[in-house]
Amino acid sequence: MSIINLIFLFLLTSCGMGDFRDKSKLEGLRVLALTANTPEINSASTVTVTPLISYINGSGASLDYSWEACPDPGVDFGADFNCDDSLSALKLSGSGTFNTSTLSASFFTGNSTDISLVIPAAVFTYLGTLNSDIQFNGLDYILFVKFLDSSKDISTSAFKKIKLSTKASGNLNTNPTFSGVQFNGNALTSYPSNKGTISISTASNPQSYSLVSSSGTKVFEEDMFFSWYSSDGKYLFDRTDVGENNDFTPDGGSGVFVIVYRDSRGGVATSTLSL
Amino acid sequence: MLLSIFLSLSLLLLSENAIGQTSITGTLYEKGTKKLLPDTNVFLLPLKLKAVSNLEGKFIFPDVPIGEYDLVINKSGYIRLKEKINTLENKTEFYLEKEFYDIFETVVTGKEVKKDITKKVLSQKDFLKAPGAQEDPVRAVQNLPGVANQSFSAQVVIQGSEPDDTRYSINGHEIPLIFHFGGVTSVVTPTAVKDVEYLSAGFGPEYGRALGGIINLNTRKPKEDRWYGESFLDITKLGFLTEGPINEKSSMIVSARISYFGAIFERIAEEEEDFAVTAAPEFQDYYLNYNYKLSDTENFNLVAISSKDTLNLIVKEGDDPNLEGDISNNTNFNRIIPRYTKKINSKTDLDVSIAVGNDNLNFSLGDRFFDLKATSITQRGEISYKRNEKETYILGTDIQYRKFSLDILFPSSSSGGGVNSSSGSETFASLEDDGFESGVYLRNIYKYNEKLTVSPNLRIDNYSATDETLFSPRINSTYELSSSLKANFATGLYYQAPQNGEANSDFGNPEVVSEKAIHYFASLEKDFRGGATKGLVLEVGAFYKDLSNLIVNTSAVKSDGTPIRNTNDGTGNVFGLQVQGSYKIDEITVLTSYTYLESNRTDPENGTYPSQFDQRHNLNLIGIYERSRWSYSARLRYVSGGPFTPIIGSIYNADNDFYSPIRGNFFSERFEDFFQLDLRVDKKFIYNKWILSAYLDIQNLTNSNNGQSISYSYDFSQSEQAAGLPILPIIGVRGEF
Repeated sequence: MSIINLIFLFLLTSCGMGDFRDKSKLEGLRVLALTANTPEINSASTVTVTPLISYINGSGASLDYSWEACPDPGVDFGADFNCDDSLSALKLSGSGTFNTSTLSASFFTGNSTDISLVIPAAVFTYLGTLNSDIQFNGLDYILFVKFLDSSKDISTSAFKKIKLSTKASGNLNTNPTFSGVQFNGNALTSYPSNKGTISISTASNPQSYSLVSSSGTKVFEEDMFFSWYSSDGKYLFDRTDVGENNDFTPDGGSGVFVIVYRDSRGGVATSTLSL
Repeated sequence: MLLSIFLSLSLLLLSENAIGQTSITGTLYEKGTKKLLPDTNVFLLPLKLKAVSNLEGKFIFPDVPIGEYDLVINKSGYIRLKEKINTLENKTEFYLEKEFYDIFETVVTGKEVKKDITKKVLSQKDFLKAPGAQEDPVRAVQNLPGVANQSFSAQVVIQGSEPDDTRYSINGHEIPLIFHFGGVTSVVTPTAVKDVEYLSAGFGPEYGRALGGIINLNTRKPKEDRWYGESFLDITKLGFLTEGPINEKSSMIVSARISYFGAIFERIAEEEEDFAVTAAPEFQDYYLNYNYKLSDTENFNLVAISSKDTLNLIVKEGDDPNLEGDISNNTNFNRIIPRYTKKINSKTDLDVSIAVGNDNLNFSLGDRFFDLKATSITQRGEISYKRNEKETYILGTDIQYRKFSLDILFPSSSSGGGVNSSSGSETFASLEDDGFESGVYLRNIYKYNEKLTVSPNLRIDNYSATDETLFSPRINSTYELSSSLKANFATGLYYQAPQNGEANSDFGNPEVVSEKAIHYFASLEKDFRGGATKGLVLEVGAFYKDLSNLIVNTSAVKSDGTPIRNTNDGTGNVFGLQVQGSYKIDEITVLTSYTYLESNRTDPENGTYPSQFDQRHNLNLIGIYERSRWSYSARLRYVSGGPFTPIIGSIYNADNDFYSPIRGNFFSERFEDFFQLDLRVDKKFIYNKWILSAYLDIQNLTNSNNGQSISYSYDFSQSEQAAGLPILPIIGVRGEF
């Protein structure tokens, strides 16, 4: 019943929502992706996370960033998005500064400094004490990261889950891949002059994965999708599925395009084109 | 010779008299309904002859000279008929127009033995003409005190409780939903409903499993005198109802309704960039009522109902990225409810019924899905024994058995403070389970003296899901302070088993137990009419509900890392004052209901905060003016803005590409007040053999914004109060024959 209400309310309130900022439009300080070199691990190791950020109207500002990581504090059940209540032995943290002027001028969109998560052995010891379903499905080790432009008091926060599980190495999740961003069937190498179709020529297929619960083991397929961003112009959709084209209408002579490919369970691939 | 001439002339005159006389016969019908009118005086003027119609409505004036006369009928409750008739025209059907027509007048099937002082009943006449209710029985309940204002909602929120604290039933048997999509209309053809019962704080032992209250639709028996029919059409749906006798002992009602607003929706959607409709939203429902008189003291009745809602669409871009992708929703349920009643003797009555049916709820969003299939069997039985004029005992059973299978793959989320938040992790389960919820109750009605009636009651419930046996003592009493002033009091204990998977090991906590409430209700009823039908009737009441063991979310985990998900650590209370009045003078009726309430909840992780349905002031003012075949009515609603939880920030979920909101203090801000003025005009066109009714119902005449929800940008940095229903004229027509 409540689901029906939700749909109906959504349909009624989604009409005429044209006054809000477009999700795919890059302007202010945004984190667009957090890419872990290994989205799922089965032993203590170092995971490198690369933030993809955009701060087009930041004029090359210097950003302070801080991060912390810990086992999921229970955000799906109402816990705050931080590691405040986590045991110190299971927690990691760090901070630094990143100067956006090192990115392509005028668009200031690209990868920030890598974050190295040296996952302590204590976390896997802790994993070993948990319910066997959690051990197999994976414990969410969550990285919370915050970027701050202190000169303008502008900040943005994001989080990413690293799966810690007992799966065999061959069954761990890996990042998807894609290549060949095309515009009207040709490689996108220059800023389009007219409206056309934007697409991806090659993308890795969804992987199958298993989850266990009291109901037994069930096999699912990854829900893959692309997220589209640009500094100028407008997409028809801000998200598309694999094999689904998007339309793009330019409104200038240059811009940055960012495409992020996700498998919905931590695997990420990105592409940034400054044209 | 003279004698011969005289005889000849006499014979000639006699023969002329014989040729010049005839008889006038006819049948009397009620205009519009074709109901036969027996025992009615018919006058023929200026002959001053009188005839009386027989049981078949027929009358006869024998030996009337050929000519033109006035046929006059003066019958109480009908407009005087004066009609010129010519004996040579051979007219045989005469139609008398009633002074007042109700739409399909209610058939009263029996007297109410028990008295639940908290019960409000809206008859068919009440809800069919209620402004803003679109002829719907459950929407009309919103005009009663204690019912929260809910836009686009398919639920009824009673006296500051939660939506899930209300139970819905047909003839006492619980059904999974009472409304089609978004509260458009309830699931039964309104003219098949005898009345709708609304039970609030302090309700009796007949119902359990609800902390808030009950909405029960009572169906009516089919008409037995002849076959009737009606067809209806408004801006959302069309349908028909037909009823009548099958033979001397049995009769039936058949009805079906189907929506067509999906076609309109599709047309709108074609111009929308945000979503595309692949299957129009539509609903349909079917209804059958078969009645068989086994004997003068025994009756068998069978009600069958089927309801279906369907919607498929592709959401391309919305304000909530969680709601993007292919969305489909299919909900259907059906029930067959056989019922046997028997008057065992002058003191004892028996009423037994069973409802058997299926519920299917399927919802999918992209690759995520929720698929629930259930078989439901419910049983009700009641035997009442009137020992003497002072004492009546009622023993009843109220049993539910439900077997279900559930397949689910959906993001885990918490909805604390009414704000949905998720990390993108998925919950999945594939399970089969069943559960018994059996209840037995005893109601005693003891008339202590002419003034005081006390009803001590007990209900005992057993819930298999939580392995609990729960005793719910309840009492209500009435004291007549004078012939026009009554004082009522009710209190009782109420339990509600965990629901919606709250006790399930995969997405709930199997250790939670039933939620509990203690209700207190007191009222004064004053009838200022002094025995007349016109004047003022007023009821002033107060209620208090003490809530404990409420199931609330917790972010705590067990030592093995398993999330606890929810606990019984929630408490709460609701306090309210309510006034209901009706004032009738001549053709004008004024109805009012006002509720003031404070509803609070407390949970360990979030402290004390107002309930989502803490609508402090709720005023309904209804005026009805009826004249001839016209009826004009208006409803004014004023409701304090409900509370909401502000969103004070957001964090980007980099794995799933959406922003999770960061909640402020629970329900610490309020929407703007709600104000709505509805107008309704009804007109009846009475033809000899059928009646055409038309209505215009204009909702939100002042086009007030009335937004009771907030829309957010993708990152929750921008927001606006979403507009409620704009000015909305609704036209409907109904043909009865």
